[in-house]
Amino acid sequence: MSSSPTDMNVNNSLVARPIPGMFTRLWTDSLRHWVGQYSHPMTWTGLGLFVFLMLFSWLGPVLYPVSPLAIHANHLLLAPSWQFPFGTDNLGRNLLARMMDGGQATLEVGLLGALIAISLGIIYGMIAAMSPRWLDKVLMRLLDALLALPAIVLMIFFAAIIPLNALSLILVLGCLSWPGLARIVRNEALAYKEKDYVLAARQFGASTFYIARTHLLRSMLPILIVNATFMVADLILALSGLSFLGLGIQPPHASWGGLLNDGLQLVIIGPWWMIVFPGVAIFLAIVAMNVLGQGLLARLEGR
Amino acid sequence: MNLKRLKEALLVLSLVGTGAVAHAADSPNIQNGGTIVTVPGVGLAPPSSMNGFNPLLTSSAYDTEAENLMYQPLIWVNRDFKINFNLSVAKKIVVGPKHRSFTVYLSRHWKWSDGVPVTTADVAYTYHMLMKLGPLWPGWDSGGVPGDIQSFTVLGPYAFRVVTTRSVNPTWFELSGLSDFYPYPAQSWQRYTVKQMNDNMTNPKFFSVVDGPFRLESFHAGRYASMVQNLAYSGPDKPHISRLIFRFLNSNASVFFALKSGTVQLGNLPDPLYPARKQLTNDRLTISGPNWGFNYLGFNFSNPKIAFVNSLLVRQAMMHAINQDLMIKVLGFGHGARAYGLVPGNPPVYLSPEAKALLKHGAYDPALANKLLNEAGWHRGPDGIREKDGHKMAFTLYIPPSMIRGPTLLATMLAKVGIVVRMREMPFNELYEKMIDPHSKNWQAVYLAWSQTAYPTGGSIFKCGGVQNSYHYCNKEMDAMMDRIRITSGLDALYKFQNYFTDQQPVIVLPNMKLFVMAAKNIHGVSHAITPGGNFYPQFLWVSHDQ
Amino acid sequence: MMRRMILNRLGTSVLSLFLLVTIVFFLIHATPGGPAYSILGMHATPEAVAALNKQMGLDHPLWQQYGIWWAHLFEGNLGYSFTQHAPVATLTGSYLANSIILYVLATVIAVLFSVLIGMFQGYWAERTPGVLIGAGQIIVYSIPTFFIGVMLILFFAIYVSWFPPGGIGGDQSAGGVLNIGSYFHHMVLPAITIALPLTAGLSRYFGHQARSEYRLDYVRTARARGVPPLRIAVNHVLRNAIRPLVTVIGMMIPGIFVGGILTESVFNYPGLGWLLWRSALEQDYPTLSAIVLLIGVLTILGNLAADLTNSILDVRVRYE
Repeated sequence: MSSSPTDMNVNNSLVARPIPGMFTRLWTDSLRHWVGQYSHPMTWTGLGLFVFLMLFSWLGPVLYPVSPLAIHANHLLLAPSWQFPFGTDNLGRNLLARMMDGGQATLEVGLLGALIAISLGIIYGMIAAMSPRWLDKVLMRLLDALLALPAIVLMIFFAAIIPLNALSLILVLGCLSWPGLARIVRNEALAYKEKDYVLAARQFGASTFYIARTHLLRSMLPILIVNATFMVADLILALSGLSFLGLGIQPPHASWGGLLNDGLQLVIIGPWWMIVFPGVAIFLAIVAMNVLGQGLLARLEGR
Repeated sequence: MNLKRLKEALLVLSLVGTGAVAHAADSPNIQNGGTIVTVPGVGLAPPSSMNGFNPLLTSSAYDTEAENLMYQPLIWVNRDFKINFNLSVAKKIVVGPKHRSFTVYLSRHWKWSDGVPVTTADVAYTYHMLMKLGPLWPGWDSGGVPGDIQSFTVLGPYAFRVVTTRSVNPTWFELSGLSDFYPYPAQSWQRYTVKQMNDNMTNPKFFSVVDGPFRLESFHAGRYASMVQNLAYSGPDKPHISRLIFRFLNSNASVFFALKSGTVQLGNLPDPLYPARKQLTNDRLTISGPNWGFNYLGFNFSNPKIAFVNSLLVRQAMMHAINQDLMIKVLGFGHGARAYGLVPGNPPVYLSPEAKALLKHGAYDPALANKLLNEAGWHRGPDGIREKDGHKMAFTLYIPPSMIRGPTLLATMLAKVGIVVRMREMPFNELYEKMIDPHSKNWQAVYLAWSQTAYPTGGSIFKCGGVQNSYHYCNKEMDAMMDRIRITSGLDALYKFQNYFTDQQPVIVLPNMKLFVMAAKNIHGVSHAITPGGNFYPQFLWVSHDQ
Repeated sequence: MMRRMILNRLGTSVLSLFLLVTIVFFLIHATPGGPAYSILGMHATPEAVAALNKQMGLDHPLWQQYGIWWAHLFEGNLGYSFTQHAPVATLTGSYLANSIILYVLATVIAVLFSVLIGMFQGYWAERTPGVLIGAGQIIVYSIPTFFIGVMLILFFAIYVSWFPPGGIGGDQSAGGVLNIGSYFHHMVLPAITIALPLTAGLSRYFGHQARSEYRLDYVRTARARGVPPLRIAVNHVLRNAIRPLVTVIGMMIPGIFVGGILTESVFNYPGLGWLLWRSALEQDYPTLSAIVLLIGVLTILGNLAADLTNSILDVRVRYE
């Protein structure tokens, strides 16, 4: 808030000076502005649902401290009961406890994997967009190659050299998913690069890095966030597919996809609880993220 | 998802055998003709595909199954591990007084399907091919081949003689060594190089000359292989069905679905799906096995991180900590058998009296396990895990895909006595590479199985420096006992060895589950057709058409 | 100008392909293990492994193997698969034949339904039917492929016997004569399994496009003027909405193969996806390289076609 020279003599109280709590106010104001701008029933539904699933996975074991690994040999394949609210699997393990354990792995992989993918995607895409034409070309060709790569090959390669736990899966899946995002980032950056205000900033001597960070990134942030939500959903689906192929979380831990797969292998015996609970959980997680993304997208497009 | 469980863990069984006593021909109701659709590995292992039919070049148990139908063995071993000379190409074996010379006389009635008689030329061809292939042939360096063979001489079209370098146990040599020399059609295969044979591994035309009850009709990669009756079969027990089809399926669920919808009429019911057997309303259940092999928990004795396995007390403690009955109950729904040694118990023809007693009594004794561990100096730490000199008793267990329940159960039982087991699942080829590659010494423990030979010595597996001894286990006393089996006749040496083995537990032997074979109600003779040796004899099956 | 663009793009596509194949080659050879262990299994001894590796030509240095592979490729020789005992070309050919028809069928089903659903969604955007369609899309998209597969088998092949529970048609006939009807009968459930998630995503995309088209002034004018809705739909909206069709299909190709792996596993369908999975698992280098090459060619060609179509149709697109 600057005052013009003519105002200066009018009233001293109009001169800008730090007010206590000013920055907090600015912060909450812009947050409120953002929230107001992007608020949409779908956004809130999605977010709420996802937070619920996170609470189930992380808060759940605190409220229900049962071991997911304990085997009860006399209680194999039991339907839900008071003792086993989600039933037991064919080794007599408490499915509710396993679902919480699995939820942690599944959601971790989804969220953190997406985070890694976005970070890598932004870096690569920005570099490609801001670099000279020939370098951009080469980088995009490399990207094409990476996009055409069957992820299976990479997964098996990694499975052979490192044990597959939540952490390694986060890294591997993150590293497999960034090319798609990189392409989006690069295309968006190219589009925004020619905008007037960016050209103006250049005139004023702004460095490439500054432009990238301040203007371009901020402009494409909404698009990125939307894509990020879809990516989380895709990663959760990918993890369940990997579990089906035997490349998921190592036993005796599991992910929801792994639990679903265990249930499906036994489907003909009819343990509906082994299928319904993990299936619904995966479904809710993906729906939550999709709905969240759709809500954000709707607001972005001005609906 | 491909389940190649026991397939990868089995040695090639070079033997076939069945009880030809209560023969189906006695029953007047047998109908001829018909087609049976089945899967590879019935009564043996989870289904997979066949992808090669040349017995000189394949090592997969599924391929061997088909090959055994096409080529009649030199020595046919029945389900009690006795030689049946009616079904063997050999008519008689004369053993020299010093147990060094084996003169084999061939029956004269066996003919190839192109009319040429089966003669020693065919056996000689096989012998030379095996020597030429060397380590590329899976049976190399076991059963005394080639180590104990001094010479192979053809005496005439129906007689040949093998002389060994030293005096051997005749039963062992006949069952494990001589039996490798199946007659293969020299007149048909001689002109091909090994490379050409490799290029024709699935070409039915290459395998058109056979002497067994079936021949290969067609092969479709990824789908099925079909075999038809060999009309020129010159031996007893001619097949009743006219066609046999092996469909290639790759998961438990798909086998079940196929059985239910009738797409497959004879197959294994996967263990975990046993509770659903009543849903297969068109099929009858035959429980067979346990099969001729043993499951085990194996250690890498040369890995300093798990040095505790070198202690006999620790290994014995592990043996006593495992509740085999519980494993049988959970994994096999109560259908299985205890096992503590490397000699399988079904049939019990080779079991020593001590082994029989132990099997009856059982070895589950967690109190004893705890005591032994304490004696060995490993005491429970504050977290319940055994420790000594700052080291914890823990190891990483490599498990093949889809064999998760057993190790999980095992880990729980060992945890109760204070041993921590970390599991790591990986595909078979990776597992073997980590275990076998001489450069890779880091593996700690594996959960696998061996199939046994017809005369169960375990030589190449547990001998110091044995070709298959990736455990780096070396016990000179055991070596001496194993050697004695090979040179003395009678079963005493085998009894002494197996008792010592059970006591020493170089690998911790685990229980064996039975197999659930489902057959359509109009298929008969199933129990004749499947043996504990894991062999499949479809020539004893027949289909009734009126049901 | 056009020809220069095409050549330019073709050249860079070849570069992409080359990079892809090289990355994969070195990656799969660097994976510990090796096909010898897959082939020998428990019979593996260091001696046997060495002998087999020599037979397979794996004892040469990696650069040399790489060069030899390219040399053979230019001769038209794709190599020999030791794990499956067959020349790679024959093997890949038969599995490819099975898959291509399945994937094409699935894609056709997906595209047809997507366009249809998308049109409806665009027409009824923001009103109840549109919202319902949107919800349906999200729901179907959120179900894992293998789950769909198993449920389809359960309901349509086991509880009722309308379809076979897996495998591929045309077998068990005495002379091996291909029974076309049986062939397609076996393809229905797998095709639906692959097509469903595709449709969910694709129809959402088309719905988006269609909705944008419907809001354009000239369309609204036409509607106001009373032009029959069907004519508007087909002549104006549809034509514009499907312009990016080629692009989208081009980008879907790797996804179809991955969906194929899961579906073919569930249905025991001997297709390329399954072969890719098996050869990756068994480290069957020649087959794996050949399949990756194939997928790469298809994908990159798809991208190429997409880019070219885009630049022809829309001169505003920045073309490098």
